[in-house]
Amino acid sequence: MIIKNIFKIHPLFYIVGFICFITGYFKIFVIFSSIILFHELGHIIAGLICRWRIDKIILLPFGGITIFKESLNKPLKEELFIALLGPLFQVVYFFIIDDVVFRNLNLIILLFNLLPIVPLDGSKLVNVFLNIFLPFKKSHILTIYISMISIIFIFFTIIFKFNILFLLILIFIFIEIIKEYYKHEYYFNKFLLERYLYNFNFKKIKKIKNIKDIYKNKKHIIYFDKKYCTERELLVKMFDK
Amino acid sequence: MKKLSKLLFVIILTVITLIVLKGNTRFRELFYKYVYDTNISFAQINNWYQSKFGSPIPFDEYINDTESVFEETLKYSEASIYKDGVKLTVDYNYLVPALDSGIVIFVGEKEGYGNTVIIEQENGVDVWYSGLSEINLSLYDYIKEGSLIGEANETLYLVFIKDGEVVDYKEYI
Repeated sequence: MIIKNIFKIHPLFYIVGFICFITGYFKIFVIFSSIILFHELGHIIAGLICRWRIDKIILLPFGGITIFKESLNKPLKEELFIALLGPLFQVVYFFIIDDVVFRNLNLIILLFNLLPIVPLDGSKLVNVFLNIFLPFKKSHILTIYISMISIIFIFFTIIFKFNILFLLILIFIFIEIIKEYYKHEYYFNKFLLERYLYNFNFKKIKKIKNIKDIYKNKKHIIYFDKKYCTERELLVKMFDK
Repeated sequence: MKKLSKLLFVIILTVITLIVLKGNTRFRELFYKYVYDTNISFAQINNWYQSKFGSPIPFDEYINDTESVFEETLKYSEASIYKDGVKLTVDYNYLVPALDSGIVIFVGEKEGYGNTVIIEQENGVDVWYSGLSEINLSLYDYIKEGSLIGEANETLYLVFIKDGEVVDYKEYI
């Protein structure tokens, strides 16, 4: 029952499955599904090691998405580890099984997954990387912009070689990017609220002038109303009403 | 409750089909022909699908390993009728090329023919390549025209089947 609630298969996966069946691509479809499952296993194991709660796992025709019910203020190291272990498992799988079709398919899925586009693993890596140098709000919006630019480039490949399934997948990804864009303010507010509700301990301290410049992995002193106050004081002012 | 009703629906459907099969000879013939004797033509559907919508797996061209494709067509010195098909006399350790693109739907042994590969071609014809000493394919591989099927020692049997019926080999080789 728990598995049934967590594990979901996207309708697009069924469509691809059906098309692969009627055109006789049984073998490739089975190999393909096994690669995706193995990839997700990587994320799940990483999640379990870091003690993240899994919300759901969605199976898609170009890879899976593992969604965690976790705070946005998790350490960057853990985020990086979880994002990396999926592709890493795929690389391990690549070396375990010695078959040309299998390896080529594995490589294509791996490369596609590492594109910096929002629901894919590449975007998570980009986001972690940006968070080291940029504030949370900025790096999130920048990740979305990078995704949009990348997907427009990928759309051009369709013009040269039309493929209806690839087009469907790209449209799905595009919708996900738009959703993420509209959730931007919500994520930022959630991020601040979590900082208010729970006490996180960060070693580095940074002086900033605006609350929008809060970094994910730092403590802050904020210039507000012509004087400096701690991040905590400002958050209390914001949320305690 | 939902599962029980599904089960009952399947039972009712089966019983109705059986009753109609018993009573109606015309229906029985059609049923046997389309359910038991003919296959879904994967190769034909694939051909049509690819021409309209592109490959079922995006970037398909990078996935399949390109096997050696011969320039020459099937070479043989003698042809005679054998069972349902034709017996060809070929060279010793002859490398058998595929006559047309298609999907491998059977790999194994057929009685009276020996090691057999059946390829369902894009034109809807199933071709049996029999009497092979070595097979280079596996089940459900898609192959291109002229790709290597296997090796034959002096004799090679071919059978051509369309819509469940054996057809004359002279049209195809």
